[in-house]
Amino acid sequence: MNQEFAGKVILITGAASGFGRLLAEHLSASGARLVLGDLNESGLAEVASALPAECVWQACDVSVESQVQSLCHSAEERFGRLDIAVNNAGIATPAKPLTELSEAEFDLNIAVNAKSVFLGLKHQIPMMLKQGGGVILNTASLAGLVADPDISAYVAAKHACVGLTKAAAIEFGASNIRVNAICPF
Amino acid sequence: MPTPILGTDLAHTELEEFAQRTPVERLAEPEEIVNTMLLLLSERNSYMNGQAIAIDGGVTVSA
Repeated sequence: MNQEFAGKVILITGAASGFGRLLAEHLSASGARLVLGDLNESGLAEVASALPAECVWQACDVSVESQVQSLCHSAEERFGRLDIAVNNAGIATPAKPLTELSEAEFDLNIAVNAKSVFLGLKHQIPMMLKQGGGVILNTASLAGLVADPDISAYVAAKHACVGLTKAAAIEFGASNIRVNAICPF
Repeated sequence: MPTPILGTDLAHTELEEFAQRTPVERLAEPEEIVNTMLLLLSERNSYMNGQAIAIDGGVTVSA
């Protein structure tokens, strides 16, 4: 077992499925204390109930500031700190040419894949500043680095996620907060 | 689990097409992405900051 994360307080959004779930399972097995959020409340409950280490979880729409703030508050309330945050929740809408994309689909992509990262950073960083540092990882996508046809809103939103990663990194690097992103294909 | 660039619910044939675009000729296993996440979160990764790391089997460096 990897002991490196034992006792760390780690927040993960989008933890009911996919990478978020798998990451939560790895970290919990390592003894990390988790704060989990997902829009899918029943799925999240199922994941959380199977984790071996202490965890707190709640339904969270990452595109709504009050809900992101509430999730961070849960970390503070339950554990008194936040060592690591993984802004992992995201959405993919059906692929279609840019000219056929609705305003609502574009807005949804920006809200869930980009604004969510801003909101996470905004509320996670102050906690980390207070305790002298922390680590943040954002789940972007290869679409945050290059474009692919028929996913223009997703490409735009994931590029924004990468931009926010860079902006936060240079603003808070001197405060011992590292911010990086992964870009999976 | 389809990886993020692909969206959700792709047919097997579509996934196979994506796999063939990679120099390694396969898509990532979810574990391979999560292992990289764990590396990036590690205290041993203390000097990496502001980076967007491609985990793509070499897609972005192939001509």
